[in-house]
Amino acid sequence: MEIKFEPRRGRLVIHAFGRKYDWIIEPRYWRNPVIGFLIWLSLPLIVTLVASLINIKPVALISTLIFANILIIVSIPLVLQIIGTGRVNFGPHFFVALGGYTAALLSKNFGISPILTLPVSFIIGLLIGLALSPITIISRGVYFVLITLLLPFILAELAYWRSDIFGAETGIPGVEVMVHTGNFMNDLIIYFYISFLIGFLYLLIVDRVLRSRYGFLMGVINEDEDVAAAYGIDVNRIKVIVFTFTSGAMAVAGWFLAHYQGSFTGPAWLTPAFLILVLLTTTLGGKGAIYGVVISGYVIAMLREVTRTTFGELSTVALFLILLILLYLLREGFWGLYRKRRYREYEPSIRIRRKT
Amino acid sequence: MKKLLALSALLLLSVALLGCAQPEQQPSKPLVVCALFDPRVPVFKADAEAIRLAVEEINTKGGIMGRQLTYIHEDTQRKVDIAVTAYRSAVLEKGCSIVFVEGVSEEVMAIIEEGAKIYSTNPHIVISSQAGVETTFKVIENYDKYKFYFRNLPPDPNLNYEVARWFFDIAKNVVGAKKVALLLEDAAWTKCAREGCLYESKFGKFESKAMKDWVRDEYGLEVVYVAHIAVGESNFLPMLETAAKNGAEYIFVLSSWYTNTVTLTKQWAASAARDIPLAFFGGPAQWIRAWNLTGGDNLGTIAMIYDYEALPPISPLTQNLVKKMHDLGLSVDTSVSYYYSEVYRIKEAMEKAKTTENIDAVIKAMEELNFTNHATIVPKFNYFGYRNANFHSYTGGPTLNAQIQCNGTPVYIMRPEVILEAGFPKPVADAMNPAAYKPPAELRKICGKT
Repeated sequence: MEIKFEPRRGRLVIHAFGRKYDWIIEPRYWRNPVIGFLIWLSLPLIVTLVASLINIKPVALISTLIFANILIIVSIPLVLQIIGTGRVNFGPHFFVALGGYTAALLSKNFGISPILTLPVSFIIGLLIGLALSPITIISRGVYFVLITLLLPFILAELAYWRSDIFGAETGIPGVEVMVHTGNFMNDLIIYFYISFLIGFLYLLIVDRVLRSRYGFLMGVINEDEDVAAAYGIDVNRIKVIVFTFTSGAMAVAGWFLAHYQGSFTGPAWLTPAFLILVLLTTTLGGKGAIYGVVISGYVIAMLREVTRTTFGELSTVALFLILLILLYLLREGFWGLYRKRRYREYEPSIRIRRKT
Repeated sequence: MKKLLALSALLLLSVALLGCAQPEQQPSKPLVVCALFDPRVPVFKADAEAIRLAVEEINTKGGIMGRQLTYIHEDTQRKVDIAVTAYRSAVLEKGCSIVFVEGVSEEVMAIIEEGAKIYSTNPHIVISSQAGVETTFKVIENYDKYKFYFRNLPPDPNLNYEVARWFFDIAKNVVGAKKVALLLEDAAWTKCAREGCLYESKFGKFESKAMKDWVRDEYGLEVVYVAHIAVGESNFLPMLETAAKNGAEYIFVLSSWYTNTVTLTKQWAASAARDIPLAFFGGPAQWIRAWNLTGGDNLGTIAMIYDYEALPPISPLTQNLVKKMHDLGLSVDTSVSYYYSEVYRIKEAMEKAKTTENIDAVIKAMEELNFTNHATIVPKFNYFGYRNANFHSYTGGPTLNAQIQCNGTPVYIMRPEVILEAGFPKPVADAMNPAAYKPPAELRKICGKT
C-alpha cells in the first residue's frame, strides 16, 4: 500500500489505495463538512491526548462530551420540528422521558436488551407524538407553547402518582447498561461514540430532509402557513409527519440515558433546567442551523462543566450569564459566525430542481 | 464515503488504544475524602461542611494511622448527570477513597452503577443518606458488586415506620390526643406510609402497613384525615382547615426537604388548626433558626432537634459538632450529624482493619464495627452489619423529639424510658421532660404571642 502526495498548482493530489484524491489548498474551498466530521469524531482522541500531556485522566471531560451528544440528539430533531411545524416545542424533555421510561421498564421488568428497547422506545415516542400531533393543527403561538410545556409536568406528576411503576424521584434502577468492557475509560469512549453515531445519523437525515423537496415545503410552512396552504401544500399532513417522527427521534435520547446510567429517573430530566439547556442549544446553534446545533451543544456542555468547577456556588449564575451574553451577541448563533466568514453562503439560497 | 470510513476507523482505533494505555493509578497520599453536594441547598452545604470539619479535626489529631486526609468538594448542582460526572472525576481523576454523596436517591442510583464498574480498579467507599430502599437491595442481592455502598440513614420503609412511630408515641402518651391527621409527602420515599409495602430480600423482608392503619392498630388513635402533599405544594391551608374541621387533635407531617415546611408552619399558625399540635418528621423544622424563618410561628410545633448547643451529649462528638457548625453560621439537621459521624467511623474502621489502603478490609471492618462515637445515634441503630433488610444502612429508632417553646427553645418531650431502652446514655434520658409539653394555645399565652 503506497500513499503519495503530489503538490499541484492550488491543490494537493493524494494517491492512496489505488485512487486519486484532490484537496484544494485555499481554505475557502475546503470541504468543511468533512473537516467538521473528523473533528467531531476525534474529540475523545484530542481530549485524551491533551489530558495525557498534562497527566490527568479525562473522565470528566469525556462525560461532558457525552452530555453534549445527548443535547445534540434532542436538539437536532427539535430544530427540524420547529422548521416543519412553524412552532417551538417547549416539551422535548417529555419525549426524552418517554423513551427513558420505555427502555427502563422493558429492561428491568422483562430483561429486554438495549438493542430491542431502542426501536420500542423510538416507536413509543413516535406513537405518542402521532397522538399529540393534532396540537400542531389546533394551536399556535402561546397556546402551543403552553400545551407542550404542560406535557412534562403531567408526566412528572404521573411518575409521582404511580411511583410503584415509575419510581417517582428514586427512578427505575436495575436497567441493563449498554457497555461493560471491564475498562472504564473504554466504556466511556464507546458511550461517546454510540451517542455520537446517533447524533451524526440525525444530522445526516435532517440535512437530507432539509435539502429535499420536503425541506423546501417545510421552509414555506415555517414562513407562513396560510401562504403555504394557498400554494396547495398539504400543511397539516406535513406538520403531523414532522411532529411524529421528531418525537420518536427525541425519545431515543431517553433510551440512551437509561442504558448509559443503568437507571432512569424521569423527574430528574423533566425539569425546566434541562429544557432550557435544550432550547439554548437549538437557539445558539443558529436559526434552523443543524450544524450550528452541534457546535452549541458542545459549547454549552463544556461551559457548564467549566463554570461548575470554577465558580463554586455561583456556577449556574455564571453559566446562564455567559449564555445570555452569547444570545445577545450572536444574533445568528454559532452558525452565523461561520456563515459570515463564508460570505458567499451567508445569504439564504433556494435550490430548485426542475423536471426536464 | 470510503475515505470517511477509513479515517473514522483509524481514529477509533487510536482512541481505543489510548484508552487501553491508561496507567493504573497508584494509591494516593494523603487519603482523599470527597464530598459531592450542591452548596446552594442549605442542608447539603451544611452536610459538606460537617464532613470538612471532621476531616480537619482528624487531621489535627494526627490523621488516620498517621495518614493525613485531604478534603475535596465537588458541586453536583443537584443534577444526575453532573453528579455522575463529578463522581467519576472524584474517584478516577482525584483518587478519592471515600466519597460522600448528597442524599438524593436518583443521583445515588446512577452513581452506584458507575461505582460497580470502577470499584475493581479504583476501590473506594460511597456513603449517602438517601432513602430509596432499592440501593440496599442491590447491596444485599449482589454484595460483591455493590459492597462499597453504605447508607447513613434507614431505608425508607424502615424510616417511615421505626422513626415516624415515636411521634405517635408523643401524640398518645404526651399530648393525650385521640384523633390524628396525617399529611404525607407524595414522593417515592413515603410509599410505605401512604400505601403500605412489602419488599423481600434474601436477608429478610420489609413489610409495613399504611401509616393510617398502623397508627390505628398500634396506638389506638383514630385517623380522621389523610392528605398527600404534592411535591412543590405551597398551599396547605385547605389541608389544615379540613384537619381542624374533622376534629384532629394532632397533625403529623411526613415531610422532607421537598415540602416547604416553613410556609406550612406559617399557614398553620394562621389557620383554624393553630391550636392543634403540629409535628414534623423532617425539613427545616429541625433547625433552631426555624424560629426566625417562621417569625416565631413554629411556637408549639414538634420536631426532631439536634441543632441545639445544650443538646445532651450522646457521644463526645455531639456538642462539638453543633457548636462548630453554629460558629460557621450553619444549622444541624439529622443528616449533618450523620455525615460528620461517618468520617469518624471510617477512621475507626481503618484503625480496626489496620489499613487505609485495603478498602475491602475497611468495608468488612465497617460492617463489624460497634461504633459508639456517632454524634446522634446509638450503636445499635447505626450498626451496618445486620444481616437483615437494613444491611449497610442505619436502623430506625427513637429520635430526640422536642417541642418548640418560648423564644424558639426546644424542650425534649420524648418519654425517658423510651430513650433509655433505645440505648441512649442516662444523661440524655434525664434531659427528656414530657411533662413540659404545652398545648400551642397555652404556649402562645405564656410566651406573649398572640
